[in-house]
This record gives sequence, structure tokens and C-alpha cells, in this order.
Amino acid sequence: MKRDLGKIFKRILLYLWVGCFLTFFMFPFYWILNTSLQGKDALFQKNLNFIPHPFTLVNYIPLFTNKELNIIRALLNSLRVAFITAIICVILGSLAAYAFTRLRFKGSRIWFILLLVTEMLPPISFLIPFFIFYSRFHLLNTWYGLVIGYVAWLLPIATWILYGYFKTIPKDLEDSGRIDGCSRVGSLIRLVLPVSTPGLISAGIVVFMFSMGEFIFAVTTMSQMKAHTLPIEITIFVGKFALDYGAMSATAVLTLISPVILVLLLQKYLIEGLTKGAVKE
Amino acid sequence: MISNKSRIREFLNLEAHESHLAGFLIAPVIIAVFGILIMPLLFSLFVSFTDTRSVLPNSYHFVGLAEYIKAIKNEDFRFSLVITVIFVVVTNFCKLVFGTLVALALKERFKGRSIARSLIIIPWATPLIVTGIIWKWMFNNHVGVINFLLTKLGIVNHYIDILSNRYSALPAIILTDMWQGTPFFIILILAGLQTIPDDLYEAAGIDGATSIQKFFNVTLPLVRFPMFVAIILGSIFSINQFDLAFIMTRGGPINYTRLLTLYDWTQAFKNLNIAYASAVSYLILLLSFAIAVIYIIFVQKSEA
Repeated sequence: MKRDLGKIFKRILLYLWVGCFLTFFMFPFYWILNTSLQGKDALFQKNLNFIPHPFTLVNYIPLFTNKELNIIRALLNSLRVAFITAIICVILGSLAAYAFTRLRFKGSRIWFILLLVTEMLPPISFLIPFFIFYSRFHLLNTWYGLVIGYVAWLLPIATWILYGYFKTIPKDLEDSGRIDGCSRVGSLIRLVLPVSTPGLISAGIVVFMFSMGEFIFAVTTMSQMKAHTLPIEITIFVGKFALDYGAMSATAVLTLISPVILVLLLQKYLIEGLTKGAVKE
Repeated sequence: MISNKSRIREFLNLEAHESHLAGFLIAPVIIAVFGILIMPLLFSLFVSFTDTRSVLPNSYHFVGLAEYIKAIKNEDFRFSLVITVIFVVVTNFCKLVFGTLVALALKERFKGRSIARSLIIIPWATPLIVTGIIWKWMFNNHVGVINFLLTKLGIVNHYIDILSNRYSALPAIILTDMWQGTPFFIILILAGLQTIPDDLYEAAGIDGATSIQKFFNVTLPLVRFPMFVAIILGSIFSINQFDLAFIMTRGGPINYTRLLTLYDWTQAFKNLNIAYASAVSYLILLLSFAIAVIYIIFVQKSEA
């Protein structure tokens, strides 16, 4: 009897704790959504509405109709850069990850560690020389300028995630393929890649997410309106219309949508891809 | 033509050519990463030994380590260094403790566990700039929800400007950073917890261990590795934190949240102290590098 009570007590504590931290993690999303669905008058009352009242889409409509706001162009710029970067990183990264996990060659370990080291170098130390190089080679304010920088920055992460994934695929799979007459490259394309879809997807999402959200490099090299990405546009927005919190929150929600949906849909793959390298089985 | 084709096939097939093939496969990554990064990095090292104040100067005047010495002697630099160290240590410590407590709960079986597990990842996927904007809005001193709740609960009796107070601005940024960064800690620690077999706990239970003893004697030693990975990657990430402080406080009030990255960026792109800023960026690089070296030594050792 006493043991049962203890168990129930523990159960209640567990649920309370889960409730607490879920509130902490979820509340900001709820709040920004709630703000974005209310008009200006409702936002500046002393008593805050926890349910949008009166409910309105007035903050969202100008984002799509008002050309001066530049939001849609910035969104398209962001999507283009993130998508192209992700494709390049997954293709090149999987070739290298295959070599690192399957082939013996001189310097394999050194190259791999050097790749990881680049990831630990502070972005700020690249910012100044990149700016100087970009102004000399006319890469400022171009989308490929951003892609070049992002590929160099994210390719090691993509390679690392794919490396963790390829390592878990049994070598027997390829051996059987090679007996059947597949070449190395053939077995990579026909046997290894199809079963590593989760790894490819999680590498792709991570690269996509980081490129979508990157700010400091973009704001430094993309100063013209036409080249702005969404994170830049949103900060300018905060400065320009300092009191228009409704429009600001609507933009924030718009910026959030694509990474959040991707992560929710593909989280199983993502967690698998991320933790394979960090947890020793 | 035919002989060429068969030569290619031979080349791709022969074990003796494994290293050629490997070179062929890793070349694109090596060229893309080092080709793009190494020149700018060396160039910036060169610039840091000059005294240039222009992006495209006609000539460079070599001054050795003068800019580095200037930085180390500079009060503003030192203050930013202290702020950065406080930020990195506190935020990572809090993420570790909070992340462990959440991971322990998410390991238990309860209704809605899988939903809870997916929800906690979303903050991590949120672009940092958006995180900064949302929390800045919540910290607002006129109509912010945090002030509203604090007054409603009777914790404070009037609205306070949290982000403009020198003692509360940095903690506010740390809280925001925890919201964004703890999920990464949770994912890694939870993955570690799941590899611990249940028998170990049963055995400890038979020996009469309490829950707390089980945590320190069974759980902790087995999740040390993922915890370590989380702290190192988290530290490197927070040394480079820029976006949150930029959007929430711009380094204020009176530089109490001006992290080194923010200081460096202002020196480079607002004051155009290009050489000085390059030197400061190399000092930040050294700091990251020290942590990276610890990490690599640890990983090498644990794999051996």
C-alpha cells in the first residue's frame, strides 16, 4: 500500500515536470502566433488576450500584397539558397562519406579530422576576409555568393552525419553486390544509397535549416534589398516599423513555418542521423 | 573508345586502386571546403599583422603583433571577453542540468511521450533571429507577456525593462539561448540513456540502491560520452553566439551583453578597424581551437 502511494506520487511528479518543460518550450510559439492574429489595438491593452480577440488576418495580408515590404522576395531568396546548398552538400558529402567509411587510403583519418576542425572555427573569423574577397570578385549581393559560403560551412556537417550513417550499414550488403559484379561506385549508387535514405534526409534537413536561418554572413554580404534573405528582412522590419508588432510577428511565423514542418515530419530520421555519431553502441 | 571504357571500369573495380578512387571521391569535399576557406583564413591572418583600416587598401603596412597587443590591453575587449566567458559557462551548465532532467523524464514511459519528444525539438529548428525576436517581444517592458505574468503572479509590482537593465539583460539572453539550445542536449543525452540496459537498474535495485544512487552510479557513468559531446559542441556554438545579442540588445545596456563576436563585428563593419578586428577574430579562433583540441583528444582516447 505504501509502495503504491509512492508510485502514484512519482507518477504525478513526472506529469507535472513534463507539463512544466513542455510549457516552457511551446509557449513562445503559441505567443507569437497569438500576437500575429490580433490587430494593433488589441496588442496595446493592459490586459493581454490569451486567445486572439478579435481574430484577424490583417497582419498577414500586407506581407503578400505590399511589394514594398520585400518579404516574399526575401522568402524566395532564402528558399533558393537553402535548397541548392542542401542538394550540393548531400551529393558531395555522400561521396566523401562513402570513401571515409569504406575505402582504405593514406591520410583518411587526418582529412576527416581536418574537416571536423573547420566546423569549430568561428564564423566571425571568416567574415572579414570573405567580405574583402567578395567585394573584389563581385560576389556581394548575389545568391551564388551565399551558396559558396554556405557550402564551405555546411559540407563538413553533412559529411559527418552521412559518415555516422554509412558506418552502420553492414559491409555484407556491398560484398554480395560486388560478387554479383557491381563496381565500387555501382554498389554505392545501387546498394548503399537506397538504404541510407534516413541519413541523406537528415543531412539535407540540417543543411537546409542552417542555411535558412543563417544571419551574420548574409547580413554582411547581402546589403542590397533585392538580395536580402528572410532573416535579414525580419530584422530590418523590426527597426523600420518599430511599433508594428503585429506585422513583425506575422513575419516571424512565416519564417518559422518551413523549418518547423520539415523537422516535425522528418524528426525520426533527423534524430537517428544526429545521434549515431555521438552515442557509442 | 572501347578500351577507354574498359579502362575506366577497371579503374573503378580494382582494389589496388582503392586509394585513387578514394581520392576521387573525397576531392570535391576537400576542394570545396579547404579551397574556399583556407585563402580567406590566411589572408585574414596576414591582415591582422598590418594596420589597415580599409577593405581594399592600396598597400599594407606591416606592424607585427601590434594589433593583438592593442586588443589585449583594450578595456572594452577585456570586458567583452569576461561577458563571453560568463555567457558560455553559465548557458552550457544550465543546458546540461536542465537537459539531463528533461531527458530523464522523456526516458520514462508515459502517455503522450512520443508527442512530447517531437515537440521539444522544434525550438532547436527555429532560426536564431526569430528566436531573438519572439523573446524580445515577450520581454517587452510595456506589453510583454513575461511582465504581465510576473505582475499577475505578484512577483513584481510594476513592469520592468528586463533587457535594458545591466543585471537582467544577460540572464534574459541566457534564458533565450537555453530555450533554443537545450533540445540539442536533450537529444544527445536521451540517445545515451536509451542505450543503458534495464538489467543494470534491476541489479542496482536488488542491491538496495535508491533512485539518486542509481542516477550517480549507473546512469551518469554511461551517459558521460554524449554529455561531453553536447558540452563541447555547445561551448563552441555559444562562443560564436551573435544573433541573439544582436537582435535583443545590440550589446547593451552599456556593453553588458556585448559578446566578443558582437564587439568584433562592430569593430570591423561599423568602425572599419579591419586589421584590429582581424586580430580579435584570431583571438576568438584560438579560444574555440583550444576547446576543439580537448574534444579531439577525448574522442581519440575513447575510441582507442
